[in-house]
Amino acid sequence: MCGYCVVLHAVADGTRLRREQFQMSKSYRTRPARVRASARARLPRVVAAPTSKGNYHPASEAEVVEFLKLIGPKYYYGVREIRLEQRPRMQGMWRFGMLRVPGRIALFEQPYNEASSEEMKEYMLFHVLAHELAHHCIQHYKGKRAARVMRTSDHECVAEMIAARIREHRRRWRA
Amino acid sequence: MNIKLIGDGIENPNNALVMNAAAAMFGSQCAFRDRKRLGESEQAAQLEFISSEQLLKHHPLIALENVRTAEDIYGFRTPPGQTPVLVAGNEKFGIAEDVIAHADCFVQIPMPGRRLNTINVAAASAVALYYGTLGARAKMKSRANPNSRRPEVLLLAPADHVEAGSSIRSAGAFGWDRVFVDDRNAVWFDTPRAVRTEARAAARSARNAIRVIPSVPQADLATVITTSRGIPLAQSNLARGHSQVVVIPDENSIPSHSAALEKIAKRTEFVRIELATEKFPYHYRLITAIALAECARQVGLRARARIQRRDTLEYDFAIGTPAPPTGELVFLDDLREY
Repeated sequence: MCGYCVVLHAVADGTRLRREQFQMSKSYRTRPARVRASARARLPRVVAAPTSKGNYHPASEAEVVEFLKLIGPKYYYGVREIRLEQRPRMQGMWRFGMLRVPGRIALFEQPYNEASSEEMKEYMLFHVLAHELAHHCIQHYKGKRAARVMRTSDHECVAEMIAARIREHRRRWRA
Repeated sequence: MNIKLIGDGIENPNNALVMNAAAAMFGSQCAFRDRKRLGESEQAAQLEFISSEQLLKHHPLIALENVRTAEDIYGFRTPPGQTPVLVAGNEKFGIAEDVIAHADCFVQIPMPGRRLNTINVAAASAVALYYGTLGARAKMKSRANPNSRRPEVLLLAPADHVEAGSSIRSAGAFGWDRVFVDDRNAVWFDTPRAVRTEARAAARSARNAIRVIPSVPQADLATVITTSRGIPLAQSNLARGHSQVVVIPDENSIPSHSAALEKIAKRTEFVRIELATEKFPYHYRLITAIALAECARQVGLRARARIQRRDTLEYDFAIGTPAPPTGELVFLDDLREY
């Protein structure tokens, strides 16, 4: 029997057929992403590397895990690792995070600033990490997880749409 | 340049004393941050201890640790600063996290050895101080077949079994697969069991695949490395292949001016390690480590094959930093006056 489909079910006496709806389908491939993810997803490994001088990780490992639990398994299903890393030096660009396909996300350290640490933490979680998780979702649910599934500009647009959906959870953040 | 040496969490008191000697060779000071009860040992009276706050206030802080971003000690330039400090970590666990977080730069000693990639902490400190205090040198050579340039090594008359073992460990880590030992003081072969065990432990014989040969190799040229005689080590050629034997005598048993040193091969040349002072506590393992490190630098490493990496997809979250302003900034009031 398959999920969200209507089947003909013979009643025990065999005199008539009755329609019944079943929430079933044991098929892994036909279950919706939400159901599949909640059954199979595991929280990714979160690792923090030491920061360089004058920098810090705005969101700690525990806060990243808390954020993932808040948004639900649909978004982190398939993510293998989230690393809090030192920021790579890059001319003309200030980097916050990166997704290395498949399923490896890096969040980079930022210069220490006491005044804005709480805002910076929420920015790293609800903008940077949400955006990278969205990129991951595009790749992961397409099935071709290590291949380029759409051109980069489209990837960015769709990722931003998904990230906006993730940001809707913000009102529940430490409510 | 004078670099202060600091041992962070050193466990073995004998290593701490030899680190003191390594610092004295280069006219430097040596201190320790006690994390492993070094202060409770008998030798503690001979050591200087500092607190974590005192350690972390130094600038620049150079960490001797083989982290991924570490630079090679060969060709390393000490960053500018008033009190440069070299931090060497615990024998087993390395440097503590707080020092890693505060370090201005990381350096490492390249080890071409296949099965052994560490040397004694005091020997490593001596190598790092040698290249750090004498300023930037040439970088490690890159060759197609470095082993064709690797000379034979003769450890001549070591006087102490631990020093001999530690020297053999250095030879293995720096890429030699055999070393000749003139064991006239009977510290390596034909020794009591306790001595033998200590010596083999110092040489890390369980992992060190080096062969120790009890004879003197036949060679055309003997290059004798001492602390006081001959041309400077930096100007010597220590990569002439198997026709050359690098002789490192233990000056506790054979003085550098001894005539016996001139009869090892047909031709003999003398090389001296440039040290800041002539009077220092002599430790054979420090001299061999510096000599073998320079020899390994000149022998070089095999040029790495270019591996074509598969293109990986990466999506990053970044903003562009504003470009520096070009041209001249003109205010409206100035323009109006003009």
